[in-house]
Amino acid sequence: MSEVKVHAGSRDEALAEGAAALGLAPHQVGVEILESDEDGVTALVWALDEPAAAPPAESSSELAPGESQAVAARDCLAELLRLIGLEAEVRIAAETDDEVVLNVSGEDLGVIIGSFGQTLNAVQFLVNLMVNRSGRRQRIVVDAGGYRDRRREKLEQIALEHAQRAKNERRGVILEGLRAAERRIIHTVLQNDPDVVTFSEGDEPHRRLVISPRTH
Amino acid sequence: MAPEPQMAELLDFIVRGLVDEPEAVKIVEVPGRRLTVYEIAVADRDRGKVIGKQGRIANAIRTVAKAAATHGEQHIAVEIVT
Repeated sequence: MSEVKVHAGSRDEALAEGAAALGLAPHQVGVEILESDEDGVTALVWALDEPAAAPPAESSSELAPGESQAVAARDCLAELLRLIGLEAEVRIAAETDDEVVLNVSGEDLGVIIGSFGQTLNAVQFLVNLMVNRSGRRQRIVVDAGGYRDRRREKLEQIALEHAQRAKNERRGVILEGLRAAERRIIHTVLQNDPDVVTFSEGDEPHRRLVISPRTH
Repeated sequence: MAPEPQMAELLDFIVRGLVDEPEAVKIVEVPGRRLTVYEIAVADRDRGKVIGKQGRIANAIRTVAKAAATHGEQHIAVEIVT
């Protein structure tokens, strides 16, 4: 993947300059601010992996035909953060056929994450609705400062600890207050453990996950 | 200098992105002594698009607006009106 470091007056200028240096249109590159001071910004600009078919799109919140959905989602999220009053950068961290991962970096990430990721999940939900209006094409995952990976690790640890307790005490252990995606992580971690079974019971929002010792 | 949240613009941007008739979207700011109420009005046929099943979309809008308000040390409420 080609990338270039540029110094410019603003993020937008850096993006335009970087794109030009790479011989690409502005919507075909990602930008991340490395440093900013009174003179402007030093930014890293890199080419995004996307179909070359994308024509230069006009700036519009509506998805132009052929415009990458990842770029539309990134721009949508960046505008949301600007209006919330956060100085944050959004970059496309990963893109596959059915998923785009956006990562927010900057100060005050706690504001955008919220307690237990509540705000991050609301933002993710809204961005998905806003950019997938003409039928869902790619799921948009919104992350901030690697929060989702840290949360995943924490949930994996919780899964293993509670599975051990279920085995030791020979009884079912209940986990409450998890979202569907979080329960799925627990189920996945334990699906190959021959000594426990996991299932969910009850109705949202009080659905709970049970880790139960397997009777041999 | 940290930028301030732009609450009405934020709600306008979100709601316009959700509905079929963005030109019918109206955000009214009702300042109060203790809290500022933001009233969202949309075309009748778009109401479901800003409320969602069991109010899920409306609640997500509130969560994001509250985060912005807390960031700007404001007290707000968000209502969807006809």
